[in-house]
Amino acid sequence: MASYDHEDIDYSDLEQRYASQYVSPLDSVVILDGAPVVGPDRADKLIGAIVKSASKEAGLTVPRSAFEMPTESDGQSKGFMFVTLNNPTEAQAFQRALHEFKFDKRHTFRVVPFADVGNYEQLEETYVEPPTEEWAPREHFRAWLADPAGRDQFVLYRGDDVQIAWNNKGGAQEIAHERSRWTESYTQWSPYGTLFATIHGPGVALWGGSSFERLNRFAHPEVKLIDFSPFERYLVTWSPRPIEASTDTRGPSPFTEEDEGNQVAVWDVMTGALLRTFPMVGEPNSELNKRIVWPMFKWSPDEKYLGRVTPGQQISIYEVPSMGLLGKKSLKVDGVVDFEWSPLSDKEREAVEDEKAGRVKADDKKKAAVPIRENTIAFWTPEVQNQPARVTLMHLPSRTTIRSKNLFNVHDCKIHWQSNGDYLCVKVDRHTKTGKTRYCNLELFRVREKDCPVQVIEIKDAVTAFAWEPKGQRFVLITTADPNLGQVAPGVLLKTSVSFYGYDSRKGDFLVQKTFDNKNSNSVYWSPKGRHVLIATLGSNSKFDIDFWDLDLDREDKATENDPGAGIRLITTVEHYGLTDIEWDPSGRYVATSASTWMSSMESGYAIWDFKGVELQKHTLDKFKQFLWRPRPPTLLTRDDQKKIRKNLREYSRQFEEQDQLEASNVSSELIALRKRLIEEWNAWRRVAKDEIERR
Amino acid sequence: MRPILLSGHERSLTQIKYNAEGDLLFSASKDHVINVWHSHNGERLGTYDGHNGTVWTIDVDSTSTFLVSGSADNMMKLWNVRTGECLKTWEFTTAIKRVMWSEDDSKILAVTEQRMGYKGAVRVFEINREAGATQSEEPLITITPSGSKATVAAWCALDQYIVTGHENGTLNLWDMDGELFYEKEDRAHQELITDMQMSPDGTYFITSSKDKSAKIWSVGPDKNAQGDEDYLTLIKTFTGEPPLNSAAILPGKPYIICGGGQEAMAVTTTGARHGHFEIRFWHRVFEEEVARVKGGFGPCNTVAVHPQTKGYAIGGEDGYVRVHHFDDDFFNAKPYGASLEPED
Amino acid sequence: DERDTLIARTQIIKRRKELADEQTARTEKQEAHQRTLRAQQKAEEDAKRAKDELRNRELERVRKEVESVKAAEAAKIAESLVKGGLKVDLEKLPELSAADLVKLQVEQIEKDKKDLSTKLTGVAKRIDHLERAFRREEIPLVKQDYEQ
Repeated sequence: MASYDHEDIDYSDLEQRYASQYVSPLDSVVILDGAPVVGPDRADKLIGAIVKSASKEAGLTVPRSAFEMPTESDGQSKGFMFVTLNNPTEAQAFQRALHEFKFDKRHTFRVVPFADVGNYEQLEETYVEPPTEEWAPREHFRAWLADPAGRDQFVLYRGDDVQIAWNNKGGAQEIAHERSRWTESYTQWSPYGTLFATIHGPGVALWGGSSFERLNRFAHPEVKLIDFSPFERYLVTWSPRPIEASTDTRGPSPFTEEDEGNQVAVWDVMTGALLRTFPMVGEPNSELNKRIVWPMFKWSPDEKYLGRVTPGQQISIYEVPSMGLLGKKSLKVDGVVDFEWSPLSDKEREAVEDEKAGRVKADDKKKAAVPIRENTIAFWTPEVQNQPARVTLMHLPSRTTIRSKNLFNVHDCKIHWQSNGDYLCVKVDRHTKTGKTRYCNLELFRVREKDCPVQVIEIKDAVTAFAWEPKGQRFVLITTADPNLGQVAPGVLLKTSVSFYGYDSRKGDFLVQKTFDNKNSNSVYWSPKGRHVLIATLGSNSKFDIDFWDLDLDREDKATENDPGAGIRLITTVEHYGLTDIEWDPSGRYVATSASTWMSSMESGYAIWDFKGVELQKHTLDKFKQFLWRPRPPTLLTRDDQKKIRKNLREYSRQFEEQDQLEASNVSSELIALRKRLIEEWNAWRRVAKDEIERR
Repeated sequence: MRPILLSGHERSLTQIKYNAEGDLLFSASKDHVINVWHSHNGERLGTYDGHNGTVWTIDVDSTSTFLVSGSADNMMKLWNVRTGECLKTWEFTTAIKRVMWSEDDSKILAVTEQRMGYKGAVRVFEINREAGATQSEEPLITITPSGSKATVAAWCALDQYIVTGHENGTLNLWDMDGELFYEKEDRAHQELITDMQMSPDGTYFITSSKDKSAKIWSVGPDKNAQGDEDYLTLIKTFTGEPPLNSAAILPGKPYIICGGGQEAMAVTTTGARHGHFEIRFWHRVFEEEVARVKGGFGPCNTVAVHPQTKGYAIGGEDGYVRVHHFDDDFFNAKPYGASLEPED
Repeated sequence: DERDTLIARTQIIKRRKELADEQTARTEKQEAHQRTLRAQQKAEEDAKRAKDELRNRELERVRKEVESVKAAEAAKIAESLVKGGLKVDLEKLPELSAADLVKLQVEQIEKDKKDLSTKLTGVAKRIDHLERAFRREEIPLVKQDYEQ
């Protein structure tokens, strides 16, 4: 095992990058590439437009004289230009704002510091887009997706050892990669599983490729929390230690005086560049900062914006990569407590991906048929004086309010988007006028329908858990009327009820399908593919039950017309002693339960089950810390590909079954051979021993 | 089948033994009493009263005539099995931790504790089977191990040798002159050896240890890899979670059973769940765990197997003896297939 | 002489009559006794019969009661079992004893268990094979993606 201490990580290139104290005049120069090729007649107009963009995106006033546009002999521009800003800071701001900037439908700017280009005398002949060089992956980042057996991977973190293992059908251990002391506190996958993050004293390291090469480091001292953007392009980090400027001699630092005192940093994952740092919203040590809510910055699902709420005051939305405030000012909302971005449907996400990859073609009517919906946020404000509490749905960046609803006797609200952004449930915890009893309203917004109708379901008891079925029309609710609610004492197990709700398209309402009383469950884990759900008792020191539910099991053979809940079936209940975490694999076929020493579990280790609740493997391991399935990106198969596979499933099934049988018999024949050998050895020894005793 | 619960002891069990026919079960306990039971129904036949301290060890001869016992009151006693009468008492300077009849019923060995200036020893006494009460006071031979003290001992190879198991996990073989005949170079176990039980023919035996493992050893001579003669050869290892207190071989079946558990002190701090009080069955050739049976409410201190493998009994820290009878399925089951049944 | 003969004859007749009377009296007495005995016997028999009848009636009553309790029990069990999802021909229900029903239930539990297991195995295969098929067909696309 290789040992990876933070001291072993080579920071010399970072040092080089940030060590230079000498300010060259060339540091104020950037190269802007990707501009339209124009003749001399339209050059002025083009520069004017870029000046305007710089003003809008970066807030910079750039004189026309700052631009120098090389031309071909025929007077046509070459599509790139030199821009000389007033100082290096402006140059950086210009680069942040206009790099990757979509100038028009066909032109996206690329901006690089002039100094980066190196031998600029030969620039015109040998110009290579610098990022290409930097981004060129040493290995295929997604090689694990091409595993011939189609297996998933997971991380095991135990003691000082981090292992990345394959999930073998038979449960046999197969380590893909392992290192001791790979991380100093915990590990995290990026949303698509491409990148593996380890957390160290000096900052975050990202790893990837089949041999888990180190791809980048992000020097943020004492970093504690990290968050990736949806398409893994950006990384947000938080440290409890306010940033000190680069005068800090302890190590290389990307930070300047402007970053001093800030605690949040936003980075470009691929280039490693720092995009911007932010201070905390409140004064140091104020109420607002006592509890860190993470992620602090919420990414829009198209990765274009990230927003943060300043409780009681405003929501601030920033555009990437410029990191400029959207519309130059925050959205002032008196009293605002929280907001959430609406997720995208698969089709919307695909459209965003196409757009990012520049695959949108005007003549592609099929693609054009899926309009990219404007981003939507939902936020809520509590009752203040005579104003009722209110939930608002708003489009961004247009700031058009699409729906708002007043609420009364509100104690707290939680915003739950369904994963396609089709439905929004605002769980409103309410109190009676006397304030004594708690009950709950579910405000269900059907966002895709005209005028966004809202259905209200009143729940007589307190709701302790709510979870939408992924991409589905159902949700699970855990309620309790237990007087011990809110009391935190060891051994107190709340009596709860578990209810399944579903959307009835004939009635046009969400209706309860089934309720099961006398439970102690408190946590809901939906399979990422829906249909199957685990309902568990966590956080107790005496009960570690997990119920495995199938919501459609009997659907085929029962008259579901009259009883939409007829298919709901508790398959089995199992126990994992000491359980602290539950995680489904990306395919919804397996589920891992783990017991971490971080949560002072009484018996640390992990187990893997299938969705039927059959235990496939279990390991009780001292000092076990973390189990994480490696996420997968959305499939590369087109809808038509998928349809074709579904149609031919029978043929695939035959092949897989054959393959599985072969494997099983291979395993068992090996095992039988081993046992035969053991028996022969034993018998031979017994005969010798018996002869020996006869002779005495 | 549910076990028969024998509740005649007030304190923890220390050792239990079947007689050769398997119809009787003897039990020794910290409550100073030795009991004898009908093994098939758990009815108590009688007691052997006379010790004034924990009875650490008992053994019955092959004809169920004499019983020998050793106790923390520094006394070893010879009893008439049928009448319960104490025929003879030997007194020592320290407690007797282990006694055993030789295969021919002519001798007994006694392991004495090492304490405060007294070295531990293994003594062999000749027993005059006709003389009853008049037995020799003086041992035939005295073995005094240097180094780690002996915790268990057994006759082996047709009473040719005595094998001793030690506190530090070593195994030694002694001849009938009381000389060290063979010393296992590496420690056999990593920690204290808690029990040692012979195969029916005395050619191999099983040890259990606090190091969480049980091991099967052959009594040589075997040629080792270097061509030297090895008198103790490790044959199989069985490793589980709890420290083990006892292990036994199932005659006629390819299994061994072992019992143990976390010490009472450790258990109270971590909850009963952690005690690992289950009795485990292992395939003695494949070294695979084949079954786990619920044990007592505390660690299992001693296990004994019916000589005709009709069942087994466990004696617990909780003061109960549990007698299990195998059902027919167990006798007929050949879970690995008939061709994979080892010779005994 | 004739008178003596007559007297003697009369005497004889008288004696005979006496004897006859005596005989009659005795017979009557005997008959009376027999009658009494018979009456007594009959009374006893009647009493016994009455007692038997009573007992039989009582037995019958108890039997009926037991049966009705059993039936009620069976009905109750049936009700609970049916409520619990036992599939049973309702027309045959009255003929089934509690034991029958419990047996039925055990059978059904076994069957349900088997059904559930079969159904789940089917679902498992479908999910597993579909996912694996998707992944297998995706492999060339992953490689292609890299080359791009």
